Amino acid sequence: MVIKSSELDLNFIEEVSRISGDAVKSCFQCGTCTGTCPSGRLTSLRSRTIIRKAILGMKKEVLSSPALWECMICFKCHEQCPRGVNIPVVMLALRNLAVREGVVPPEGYSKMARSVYESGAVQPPQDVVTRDFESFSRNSFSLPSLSKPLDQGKFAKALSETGLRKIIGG
Amino acid sequence: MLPKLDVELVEIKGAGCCGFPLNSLDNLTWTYLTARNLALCEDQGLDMLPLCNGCHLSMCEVKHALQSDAAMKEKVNAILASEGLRYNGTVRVRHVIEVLHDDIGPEKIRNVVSKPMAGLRFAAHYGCHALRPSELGRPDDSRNPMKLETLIGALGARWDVYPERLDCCGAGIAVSAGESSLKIAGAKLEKLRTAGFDGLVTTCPFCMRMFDARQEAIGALLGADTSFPTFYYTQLLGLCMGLDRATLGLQLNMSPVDEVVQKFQAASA
Repeated sequence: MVIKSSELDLNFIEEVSRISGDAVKSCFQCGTCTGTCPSGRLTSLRSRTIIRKAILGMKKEVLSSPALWECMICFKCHEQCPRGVNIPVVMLALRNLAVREGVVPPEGYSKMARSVYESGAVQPPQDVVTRDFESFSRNSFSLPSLSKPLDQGKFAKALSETGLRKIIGG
Repeated sequence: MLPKLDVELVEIKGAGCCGFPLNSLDNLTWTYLTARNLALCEDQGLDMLPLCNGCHLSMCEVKHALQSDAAMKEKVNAILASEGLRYNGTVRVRHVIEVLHDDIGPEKIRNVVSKPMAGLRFAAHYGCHALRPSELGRPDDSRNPMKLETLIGALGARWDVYPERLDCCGAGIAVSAGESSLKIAGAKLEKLRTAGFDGLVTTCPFCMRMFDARQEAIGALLGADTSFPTFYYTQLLGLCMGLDRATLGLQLNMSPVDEVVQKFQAASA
């Protein structure tokens, strides 16, 4: 495989490390992260490859990779990394940059983002159906209603300031 | 259960999502959502007890980030000001394993147990974010945690260490790779079944959801019987204090817990 210099963004790793910290630049490709990765055994995630490509500047290829979203953020790799790279935080930084570049995240993320913007919670409280097919709500246990922002308008305004509104397309 | 052990629980008024899932979309949004809950808690002069490992890690990460980045702290505080909030950084964040093990302690738990759980053998599941990243001060040692086992032992039950003990529940990719997520949880359940444990014990609601509520879906996907009794630690504690099944919400567990409860009741009658 020939990596065309015309397709590289040599500044890309700087963009990443502004969110993730500088340690990512010191990755020496030992592969311990991929070796310890419980997701990679089942998914396409190869964190070593992603980091190598990011350092090379293969921005488009890295940011469009579905594998970015297959990291469980379990930190197993980070505990083992001999270079002190916080790989899950690098994955999160790459997801952030992908979203900024217009990549559509897996549907569940957009749903949760919209729900937080509208109500403060990732999803409305659900009724529980037990293994005996009985249905229970919070009410049926005399639980108080779920706490939520006291002033939804001000809360939504704050989320416009952080940039979430733009992300959900408001 | 905690009020029965002299821990007062107060609701954080106005609290919302901890922000953890949105960290994938936008770092500032996550930082704001987490700091907002910390600020609300500070305002009420309370310690914070997030029950979910992910929420707990979020709080600790943001607390750490804002301590070491004054510019980010000011940026977040400027956004918080619209709700009249300010984050100072004084709030103490506690994990339920710390409260049970470090604050209340196994000694006190041993004393409140009126019906010891003899003859039953459990496997502990901490969940990734209760243990890692270790540099953020997690509730127990990242490589060889023992607090949850010690708490199980305080009930008079037996615990054993198993090879998959520190493995992930898979919840982290439930949204992006649903089948793989179920397979990861399923692998652990299958190992626990063959190792002859009576049940799995956790404190994290997200792990609980994977192992308990998703158990049927896991079995269907793997084409195998993966049913396995899964409990919150506090449910076992309540049984040992003589509380009834309904009070402990045992009718809400989706995994087959009845047999274990009956075994316990027969042994302690």
